[in-house]
Parts: sequence; C-alpha cells; structure tokens
Amino acid sequence: MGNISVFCFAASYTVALMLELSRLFFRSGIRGVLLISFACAGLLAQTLFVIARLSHESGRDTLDWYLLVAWILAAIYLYLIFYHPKVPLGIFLLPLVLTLIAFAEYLPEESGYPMGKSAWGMVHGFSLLLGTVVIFFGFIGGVSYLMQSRRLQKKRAPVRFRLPSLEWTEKITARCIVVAAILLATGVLSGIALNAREGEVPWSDPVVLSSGFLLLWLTVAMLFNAVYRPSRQGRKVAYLTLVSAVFLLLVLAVTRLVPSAHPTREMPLDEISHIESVKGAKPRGVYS
Amino acid sequence: MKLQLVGCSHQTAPVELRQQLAFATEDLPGAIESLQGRFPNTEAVVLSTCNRVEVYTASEDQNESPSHEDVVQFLADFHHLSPDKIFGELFQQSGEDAVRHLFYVASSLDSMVVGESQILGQVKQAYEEATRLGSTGPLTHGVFQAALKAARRVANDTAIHQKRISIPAVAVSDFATQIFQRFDDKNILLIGAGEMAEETLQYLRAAGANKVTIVNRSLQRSTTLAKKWHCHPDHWERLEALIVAADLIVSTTASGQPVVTLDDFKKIESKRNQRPLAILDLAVPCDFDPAIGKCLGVYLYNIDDLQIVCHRNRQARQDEWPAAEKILEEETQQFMVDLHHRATAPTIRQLKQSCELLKIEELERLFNKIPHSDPNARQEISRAFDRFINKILHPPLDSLRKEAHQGAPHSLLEAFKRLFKLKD
Repeated sequence: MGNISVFCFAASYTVALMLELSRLFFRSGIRGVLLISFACAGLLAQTLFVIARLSHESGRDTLDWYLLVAWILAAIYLYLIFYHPKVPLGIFLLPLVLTLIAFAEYLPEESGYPMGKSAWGMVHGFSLLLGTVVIFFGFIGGVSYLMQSRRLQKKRAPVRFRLPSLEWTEKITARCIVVAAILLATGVLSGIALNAREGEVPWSDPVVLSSGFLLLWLTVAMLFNAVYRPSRQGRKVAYLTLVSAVFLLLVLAVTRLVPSAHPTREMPLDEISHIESVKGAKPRGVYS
Repeated sequence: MKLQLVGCSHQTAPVELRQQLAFATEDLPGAIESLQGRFPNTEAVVLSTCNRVEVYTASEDQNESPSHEDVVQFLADFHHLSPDKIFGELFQQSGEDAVRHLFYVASSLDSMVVGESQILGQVKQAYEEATRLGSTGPLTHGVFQAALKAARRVANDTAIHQKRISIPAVAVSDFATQIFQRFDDKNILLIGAGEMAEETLQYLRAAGANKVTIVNRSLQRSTTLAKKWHCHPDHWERLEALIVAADLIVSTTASGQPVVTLDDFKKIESKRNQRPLAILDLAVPCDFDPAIGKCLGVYLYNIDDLQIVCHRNRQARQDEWPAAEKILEEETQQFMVDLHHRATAPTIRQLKQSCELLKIEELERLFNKIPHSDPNARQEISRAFDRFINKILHPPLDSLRKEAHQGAPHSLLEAFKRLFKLKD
C-alpha cells in the first residue's frame, strides 16, 4: 500500500475521463468494460491510499478533506457506470474529481479537515463532508440540465452522446438541495454545540459566518422551492444548485485564504504542546 | 447438398404480386405440408411478410432437391396462379448466394426500411414454425441459426438499428425521451385522430404512456381511436384546459390554420406554473405557432425539425452499411466453410471405417500366426497400426480440409471415392 501515490488513481481517473470523452467521437463495444476497469482501479487505489494515510499519521483522525470528497464522488461515478451505463455523467464528474485530487495534492498542509474524536466532532465533520459532496453532485446535475435544455431548445437530437433526461436531472438537483440543506444544518448545529462546549471559535469567525451564509442560502432555496411552485420546475432548480455550488466554493475559499480561529486540521500532541509552550495559549485545531 | 431459395421481395416484384403470393398464418401449415408431399426428402422453410415471400429448400442429395421450376409450380398451384405468369417475377438463388441473401434479410439490410427490427422476429418465427411442422433438418437448422446469429451480431456491433427514421418514432425516441424519463405518469394529449396520431400513439404506448387523452374536432373519430388504444377521448372545447394539464402534446390535425396561437398559449401559460411541456407538432401546416417554442419550459418540435433528424438518421444507417456488410460477409464465409466441412464428413468417416476394418483383419491374421505372443506386444502392434493409418491418412485429409476452405470439394471427394472405392 505504501507504493500507491496520488498519481496512480489520478492517472486511472484521467484515462476514464478520456474514455468518456471518446463517446463524442466514436462508438465502441469495449469502452464500457475499460471504463469500469479504470474507474475500479482508481477507486481501489484511492481507497488504499486514504487508508494508508489514516494509519500512517499517528494519533490522528483527521482526514484529507478534498481527497475524501473526491473519493465519494468517484464512488458515485462507479455506481452510475454500473447501473446507468448510458448516462455519461462521467464527463462532468471526473473533471471535478480530478480537480479535488489536485487541490488535495497541492494544498497538503492546509487541506485537512477536522474529524474530532468526540461525537459532536464526528457529526460535524462527516455531515459537512457529505453536504459538500451533495452540493457538488447537485452542481453536476444542474450543469447537465442546462446543457440538455439548451440542446433541446436548439432542436439538436443526440448523435453519439445522450445526456440524462431533463426530468431525471431535475429530480436529482431538487433532491440535492434538500439533502444538502439537511446535512449542512446538521454540520452547523453540531459545530455550534461543539463550540458552545469548547468555546474556541468566535461566532464572528469568517469560516463560521460563511458556513452560516451557505446554510441560510440552502434553507432559503428549499423554502423557495416549497412555497413558490414554478421554482420546482425546469431551469430554476438547476440555477439554485449552481448558486449553491458557488456559495460552497466561497466557503472553501474562506477556509483556505482568510485567517481563522476555526480548526482546519487536527494537530499531533507534540505540536500542540510546542505551540502551548511558545504562545502560552490554547492551540487551534483540537477536538477531543 | 443443395440449398436453394425461390421468392420475390419489394425489390423485385410489385406489391400486387407479393399480396397474391403471400401466405396467411393459417395457410402456412398447409403450404409446408404440400411442399413436403411434393418433395419428401427436402427441408423447407417459408418466409412470408408484407415485403417478401421466400421459399427456402435444402437437400443432402442434389438430385432430390426441387428445381426453380418445381418451386414456382408449387407457388402457382397453391395460390391458383399461372406458373408462366409468375416465373419471371420470382428470383432464384442457391448455395452461397442463398445463404448470403438470408443473412441480409435477417439483418434487415434487404428491408424496405433498412435497420427495421421486425424482420428478425419474422425470420425467427418462420424458422420456428417450420421446425414445429417438421420440415426443417440439419441444413435449414444450420443456415437459419447462423442467420439469426449474424443478425444479432449486426445489431450489437453496428448502430444500424439504433437510429429511428420515421417521423413519429423520431419524435418519441429522439426528443420526448430526452425530456421525460418515464411516460406512465405523464399527461399526454393527442390532438387529431388520423393515421399519424395512431402511429405516434403506438410508439408512446411502447415507451410506457398510460394517461393519454385524444381530442379531435370530431368526437366520434377520437372516441373510435381511444377505444382501440384504451385512451380517454375528450371534447374539442376543452382543449385549453387539456393543454394546461398536459406534459406532452402530439398534434396531428389537418387544420389549415394554427390550432394554438402564441396569444392562446400566453393566456394559459401562467396556469402551467412553468412545468416543462414537450410539443410534437406533426401537422402540416403547423398546429402550434412556432413562437410558442420560445416560451419558458416549452420544447416545441415541428415536422421540419423532425425531418432533419430523420434524414440524419437515415444517413447514419447508410454509414453503418459497410460495417454490417463486412460482418455478414464474414458470417457467410464461416458458414460456407462449416457447410463444406460437413459435406466432407461422410467420406472421411467411410475412409476411416474402411481403414479400421483393414487394420482389424490384418491384426487378426498376424495374431493368428503368433498365437503365444505377449499381450503387451499385441497392444504395441495395434497402436503402431493406428499410427501408421493416421500418418497415411493425414496428408489426403488435410488436403480435403484445405480444399473445403476454398469451396465445395466435389472433385476431390469424387477422387477419394474412386481411389479408395468408397460407396455412398
């Protein structure tokens, strides 16, 4: 397992993406088998890589945020090519997976995400992680919807490349908004509970505020859907998911770029004690 | 061994003659029985569709196989026609040409609409019916099973069957299915009750449509069509309300004026709550104002849009033709090689049997001369004889096999029979 590098699964996903793109140019009987093979190989390598990282860093339960989001999206992709082989969502999903892997690779030290040992910490971390996955997936659905809608309005019938039907993507994107709102609410509320107990992060912290805004947006979008009937139909749902994804990217950018007291990574005990001795203050990033 | 085909198709005979020669389902057993009565040692399959009538006959013995004239006579007698009148209209093919023709027919490359999928089922049905009636044998089993396999290969390895080329089929499969995932829960409104409406209804039903309402200026016509297809007829006056409720509209009236103008649609648009609406306007001139297609959530396709796709799909099928032809040529050659191999089998069997008899006689004579020989030594001698026979027979049998790859090795088989004094 020690020999597995990011390159192994990134290369597998890249080949799978090339195969997906080849749908635009020619038919092939063997493509399906190759797609499944490369996607499986990539997911297996990534799984082993994540496990190796988990076991390697002593005394930690911090997981690599982007890598985990990419891993779940890759698993969703594998599910789709098994059960809906004719739905070419890989063309949208795989670039996202590869981008997330690239972030994980090139933002190593600051890309950690807290998965504290306490129950609240676990709930906080996992629900935000899953919420992110759902928002990204909804974004893919939204893009696919808008492309298909544009194609159909231009009266272009599919030649080699059949996007999922409008009805299917509409259903998926609408559900994504609801599920993302629930997960994000769980994440934020558990974060509040955690912070109320630990009292480490000020309520005006940029990460807390941006997460709150994202939750607020998703709640508004969900209520808008429930109250205003036309918003449940057609392009509006797609637009809502696109805006949600933009909000999410803002939150992630704030997490990375703006100085914050919110922990982005759980630190090993020796590092904590070193900081304590130097600053005489409580270090960032400890959930216990 | 002779395989022959006598028949006519849409490419060779007018529809009137095809109708006269066609076998109704209930007539087929009688026809096959009559064929078997006339040619007792001949296998026969009758393929009768609206575009072709073909009689396939096969016989191990060329002399017992019916001739072109015999089959024409049979067809003329069965349908009470003059053989002279139909002889010139019926084509005849035999051997490899007949095999190739059947493969083309089963793969729908010989169909009026290339790539249509019905013909494969019809060929299969004809073969199964003949099998049920006991008129098939090793040759017809071989050729029909190979034809079905070739057709399936063409369907799987090329896109020749995938592209629809009729307007209603394109409307449903290339556009409606791009908008809706399922049709069983959709409100479908059919405006008009003519032939085009019925054909489209057929495709919608196949796609799973359940809730179909038919509306027509004549309630009687819509009721008749609705009864036939188990749909719901409605009054023309309720058209606006029906459009509000509809998810998919198929319009096929013969009206000279648009049935729904942009102003009409604007009046009801808000009641739809921007729910997506697919409109397949198959009427000429259009029933829906083309400007309606620009309204939010409306996907409007008229006959011109669909015809562009039909034309493109037709072209796509033509593009697949070389690939399909290549597959059929490979399958034909493979079948012919197998057939020729099969033709050599009796001669090879006879030759081996006569060698075996010779071996047994010679061994008996030898062991009688040395009665107290060791059993192990006897076994070794017997094995040596076997090896000797195999080595002697290998070059001629190999030549026979190679000759079978080139075609029917009649002359070589004849030479074998004369050289080794083999009898049929």
